[in-house]
Amino acid sequence: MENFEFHAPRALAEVYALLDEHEYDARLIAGGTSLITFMKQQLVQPDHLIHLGKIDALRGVEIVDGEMVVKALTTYRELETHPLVLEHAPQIAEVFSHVATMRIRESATIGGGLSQGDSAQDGPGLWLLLNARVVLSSNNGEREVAMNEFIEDYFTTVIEPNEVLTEIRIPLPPTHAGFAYSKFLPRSEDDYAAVSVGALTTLGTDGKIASARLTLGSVAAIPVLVPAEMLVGQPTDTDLINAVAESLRELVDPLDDVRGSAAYKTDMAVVFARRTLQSSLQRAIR
Amino acid sequence: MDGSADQHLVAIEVTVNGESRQTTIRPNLLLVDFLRYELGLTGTKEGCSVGVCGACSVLVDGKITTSCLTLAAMTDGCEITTAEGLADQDQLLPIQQSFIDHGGFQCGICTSGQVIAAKALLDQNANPTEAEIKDWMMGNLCRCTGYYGIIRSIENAAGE
Ligand SMILES: Cc1cc2nc3c(=O)[nH]c(=O)nc-3n(C[C@H](O)[C@H](O)[C@H](O)COP(=O)(O)OP(=O)(O)OC[C@H]3O[C@@H](n4cnc5c(N)ncnc54)[C@H](O)[C@@H]3O)c2cc1C
Repeated sequence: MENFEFHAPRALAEVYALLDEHEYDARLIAGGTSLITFMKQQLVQPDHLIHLGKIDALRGVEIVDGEMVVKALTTYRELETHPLVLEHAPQIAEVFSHVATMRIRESATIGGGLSQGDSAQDGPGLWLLLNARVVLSSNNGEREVAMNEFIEDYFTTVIEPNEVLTEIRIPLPPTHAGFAYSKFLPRSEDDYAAVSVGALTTLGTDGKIASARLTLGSVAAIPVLVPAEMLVGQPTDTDLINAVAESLRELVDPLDDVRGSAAYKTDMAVVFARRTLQSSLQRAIR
Repeated sequence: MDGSADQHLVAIEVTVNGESRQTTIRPNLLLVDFLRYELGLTGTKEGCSVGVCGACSVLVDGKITTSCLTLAAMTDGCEITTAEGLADQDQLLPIQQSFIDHGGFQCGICTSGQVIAAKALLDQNANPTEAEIKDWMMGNLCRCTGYYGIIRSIENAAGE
């Protein structure tokens, strides 16, 4: 790893000033669990590394106006155990209790993970499913970006070189909603998924499907939202679940890699989408 | 990279195994290398170098941490515990004694990381179930596949 100048500011204003001064020559570091590997491989060689760890303003979880606001330095372990997450959005804790290993979860942060812009991570698909918004801040103020516009391509996000991802705003899922998240893990339980699928559904008082949302990770450059509106008004055992699952073939473009061929991953995505939709419907309360 | 970058240094203050250290290091020094080469604490091993194997596990402010994916500079102000810092002089921790008594290691290369991970588990959960032990220890690989002995060691140290 090349050497660099190390900065450990205590205030966001100092971070913004450093980013304005050094632009593309600077990099932020949070948990370091991705960036250090990239730097070891010399894929990233910053002249200035700005450590966010001492910025208390980037820590914490709050509920504001029916949304959960998660600050950037919140670790995966905190998402798994935080009392507010467990009370208001236990779905998030459920997902993050199965991401990587305990040791990684203790260091990896929600902001660092998302800034990586990697659809093979668990966060992006989940945040898209929950319709989250990402807050990017700089000396010019802050802007909010909807999750469906945040990742543009493999490892590419809309974050500008002068911006810091400061928080994620997540609308709380309705308490009667059914949620399910599943991963196809052909190698080991702590591996990145070959396919990940999230489903969030609600039922009307008549027991018919009132809303359905389905997202996929690991199967394209960006997380994929599969249109599922055709399920609305249908009974929970509708054949249209198959139709929705089959329709994803047109939307995905997985890579051939050690976890399987593109064709195999596509087939598995269909199977996992069907099952995940079904289990979310089973968990939904009328 | 121009030559001046090599001059970059950063001052840090850390407590390692109870001993306070003030030192000046190159910012690109990994925590694992700081411990092994600057402080001579070679109990911490480097295995995969990409955060998968857990051999380099140490505690940073009590949390299990991947020292091969952490810069020493990031731990400024922190308390670090390595395998060497677990025992009180010659008095082993129950978890260390249990690894000896219950065959918790074979070749030994992963053992420092295993014991550190087990210590972090027992600090948070004094009486873990077998499932909880397996879930927690998933990030510490043993290529001798001595997992039964490791689980037994933790079960027997639990509650002590
Ligand atoms: C062995 C291993 C297994 C893993 N398995 C999984 C898995 O199964 N699923 C999964 O989802 N993830 C997995 N991960 C990846 C993990 O999610 C990422 O490593 C982690 O989220 C990165 O977070 P970090 O805080 O360490 O980021 P860092 O490594 O510190 O930073 C990552 C990137 O984000 C930038 N950055 C950091 N913070 C900010 C910010 N606030 N604003 C703007 N930019 C910022 C950095 O400049 C860098 O480019 C795994 C990682 C490892 C090492």
